[in-house]
Amino acid sequence: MTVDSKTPSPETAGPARPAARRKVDRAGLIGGLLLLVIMVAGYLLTRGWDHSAAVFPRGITLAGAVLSGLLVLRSVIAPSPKKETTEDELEDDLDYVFHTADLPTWVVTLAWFTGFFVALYVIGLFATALVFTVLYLRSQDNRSWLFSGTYAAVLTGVLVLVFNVVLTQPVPAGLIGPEQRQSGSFEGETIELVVPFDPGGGYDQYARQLAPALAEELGAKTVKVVNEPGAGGLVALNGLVSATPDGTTIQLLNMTGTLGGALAEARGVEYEPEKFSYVGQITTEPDVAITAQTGPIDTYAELVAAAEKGGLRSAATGPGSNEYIDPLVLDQVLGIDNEIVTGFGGSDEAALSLLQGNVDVYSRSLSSQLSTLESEDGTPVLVLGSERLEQYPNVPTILEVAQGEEAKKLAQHHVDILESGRTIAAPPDMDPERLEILREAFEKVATDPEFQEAGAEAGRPIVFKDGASVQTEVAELMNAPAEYVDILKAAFDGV
Amino acid sequence: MGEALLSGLAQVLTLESLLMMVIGVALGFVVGILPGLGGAVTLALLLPFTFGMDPVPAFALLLGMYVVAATAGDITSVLFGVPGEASSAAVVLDGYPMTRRGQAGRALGAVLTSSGLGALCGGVVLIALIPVVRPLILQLGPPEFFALAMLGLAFVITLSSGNVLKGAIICLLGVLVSLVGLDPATGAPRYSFGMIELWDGISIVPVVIGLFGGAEVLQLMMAKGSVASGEVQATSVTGVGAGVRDAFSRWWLAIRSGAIGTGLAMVPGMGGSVAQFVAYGQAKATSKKPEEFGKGSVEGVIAAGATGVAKDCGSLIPTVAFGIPGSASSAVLLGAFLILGLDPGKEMLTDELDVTFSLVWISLLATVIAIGVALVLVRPLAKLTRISGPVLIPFLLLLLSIGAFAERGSWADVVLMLLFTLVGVLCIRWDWPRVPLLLGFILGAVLERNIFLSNEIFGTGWLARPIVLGIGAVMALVLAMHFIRERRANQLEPGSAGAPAGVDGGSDEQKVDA
Repeated sequence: MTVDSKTPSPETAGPARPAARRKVDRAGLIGGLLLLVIMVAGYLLTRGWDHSAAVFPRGITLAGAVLSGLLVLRSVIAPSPKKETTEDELEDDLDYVFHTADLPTWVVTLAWFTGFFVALYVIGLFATALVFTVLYLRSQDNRSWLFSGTYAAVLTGVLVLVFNVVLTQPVPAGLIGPEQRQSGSFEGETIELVVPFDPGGGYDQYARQLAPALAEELGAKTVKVVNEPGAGGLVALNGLVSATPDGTTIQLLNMTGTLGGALAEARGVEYEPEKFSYVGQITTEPDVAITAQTGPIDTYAELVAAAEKGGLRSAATGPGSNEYIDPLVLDQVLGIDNEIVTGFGGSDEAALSLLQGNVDVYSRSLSSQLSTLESEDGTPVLVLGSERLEQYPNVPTILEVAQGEEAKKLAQHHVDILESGRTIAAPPDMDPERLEILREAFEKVATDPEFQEAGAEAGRPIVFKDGASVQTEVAELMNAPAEYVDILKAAFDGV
Repeated sequence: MGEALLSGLAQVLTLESLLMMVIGVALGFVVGILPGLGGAVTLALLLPFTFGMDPVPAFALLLGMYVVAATAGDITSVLFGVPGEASSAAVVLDGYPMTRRGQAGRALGAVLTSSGLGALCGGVVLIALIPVVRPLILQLGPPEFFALAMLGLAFVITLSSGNVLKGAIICLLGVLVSLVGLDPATGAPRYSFGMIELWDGISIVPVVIGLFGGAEVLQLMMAKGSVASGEVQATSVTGVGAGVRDAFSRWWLAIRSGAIGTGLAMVPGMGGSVAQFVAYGQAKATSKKPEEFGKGSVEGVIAAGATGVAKDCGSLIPTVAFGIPGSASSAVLLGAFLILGLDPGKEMLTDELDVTFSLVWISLLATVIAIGVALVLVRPLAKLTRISGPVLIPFLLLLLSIGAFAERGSWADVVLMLLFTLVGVLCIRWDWPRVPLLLGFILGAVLERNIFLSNEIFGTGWLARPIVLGIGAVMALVLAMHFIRERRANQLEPGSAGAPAGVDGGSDEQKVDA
């Protein structure tokens, strides 16, 4: 694609330039027209969007279209080569070759450039480094075989050292590679543990703690943590469906999101949670709704009272996030009328808004709330879990405060979904023997007192549950009451 | 406070802490040259190694690595035009032209020194703010974020290389690109063309690498010469001292830029990638020779370099004061706080003030060590710009591809990088400014999010908030200054639109003939 769109440039390069410039400001004309098209297309694409989603893009594209139109007009009516050239004034000895290069140069360069990325895609990083370097230096710089070979070998060696040994970071792998289904024990194999979120977060930290212990227990060569963030975990989840079901690819799942998305039949969901092969649960935690310590609400009763008065605001990062479901549950199950303020850049901005008093209540997982709670900037008012918290025995749970049969049932289902926690899962239709080996190894690691203690000390407690139980529970949870599914759907649609 | 300051220093000056810092610095150099690695990713990799360590040595490792990555990122920006970190993009603008003129040594000397001055400034700001930091941050809500983003956009006018209309249009294109992904308010995908990979929006890393690095690498491939052009004498290669003197003689510029870096990074959601351009923009707006910017102005290099470490100091502030991180990397550092048993919040500013101060000391010391090492290496590094271009090409192409791939391990990012390489080439070929595009991209989403949040939370009353008004006044000042200067320039050169017409026409002809 890149090549195609670039090739026209040589035609307009070089000798054609001065003549064209005196008549019409061609750069302005072509660029202006191109951007006009982009802006108009951008505007047209907003058709059918929700008003609040569309209003900003419409404003931007409209302004862009008007300005591009102006530029086009100016280029035609009042060609101003003077302005055009302000940049060249000092750049005389720094001119870019793009202005002067002839067609063969463009073709050759782009061929090498494209060749590099095609090779990268086909044969992977290390092989490309080796092959491309030798070929390029031989043909483009007339270097000797000795020089090219040595240089290529050193470059590749450094890459392997840095990425495979020091950082153990994934690099672009090629299409051609050993893609075979493994069987038997995991002895000497490399297992990828996929984390569907960015490095450094809670999920990532659990994975990085688990990986070496699991590798040792399985006798595997290594368990490599691979971050595959995207669409709130959807990219990785959809990827797990089609991964080779031999246990060399496993994933740390956010069950609340996994189940919630599937139940709500959210956009982009291509998996069925009950089909994954569960290895076990590594932890679970409740959500906690907190208020600002400096604000007027300090208890659940005061929260209810504030809601009755009207104008209670809750925060959420965006529709479909775990955080968005909680305020809807408060509203529909507990009758706590609240307006969800959403669109924060991240949970941290939302948390800050709570402390600033811009919103009144914010609910998310206990571990994320911990730093706000421990610094006494936040006050817990409600636990969205089955049991009260040890540190805050006076804070009621949602099960206690739910009134009436129907509400209790919905509250219970929400708690069950939240407490389905974080699990390790393998692709659907796993080799049963290999799954059993994984389950046993995971159980050994997760129930090891030393491992549990290390986790607790790092603020990441281990709550183990075996894979078979998780498998049954997931099937049960997918059988949710219709009212609960409606709440989830509302949460994903951002109502 | 003085006592805590000394006690903090004493904790850093132990054998274990210093050893950890040296390891961190070494790692920082390695990952710093790769754009996708460096910040959050490497911190996350290092985190498990801090289990069981005392807090100060652990932070010596983490922070040491982190701040040095920023400095190392500036080095590749200057040498090859490939930004080593997303927050090193502004260094490319003038650092790389200087290198092409054969002044790599001077540029590196200037950028390293100003990075140190900026770090010093960041540290001082952090310490000075400690008594007021909590109330201050509580005043900075969505309306203030919006106003700051608008202020950033105001610099599009000064950074448009003399063509405000083109600058404005391409800035809007940047804003449009930033809107790709799930809409923050309704969760509906926008401009994602059915590709789930685009739901999270476009990351800044492939954009920066493509727009600047990709275009420069292609240029080098086509030109085939060495990076630095031939006619410059060997003496300027060794001009490290000149660069260091440049930075010191413009210390006020470095300090100002450092303060901007720290100030903007202090606001969660703004971050360092904005700060570099705001600092660069104010340097150009206040410079006596604004026309040199983008063509190898040492002032531009100093302003951009000074924000490097300073912004890291800034993003530590909300992390320490509230346990609310100001950037992706400080989110990982927050994880480290919890692992090490430290509770961010009031205590870090009172009882555990010495630990907070030791963080400042670590940042400063690690920067000093890194700069010292780098200054020694400048001469051999600068020689790289003299060797035959084709020899560097395989290395640079690998840098581009891993840089784009590494952050999210995603091929989509490699494709995006190539797409923005194309945009970069087109911009250079037809004289469109690239910086407004990037500014619009960085600020677009911030603008939309916060104008909605502001309206939702405050109605229209947010427009009258004092800090918003204050930022508005600064913005007016920036614009007024720009137009006054423009008029003066016109009066000096009657009959031209801010550019000496005769010279231009001449040089243009020459170039085409040559």
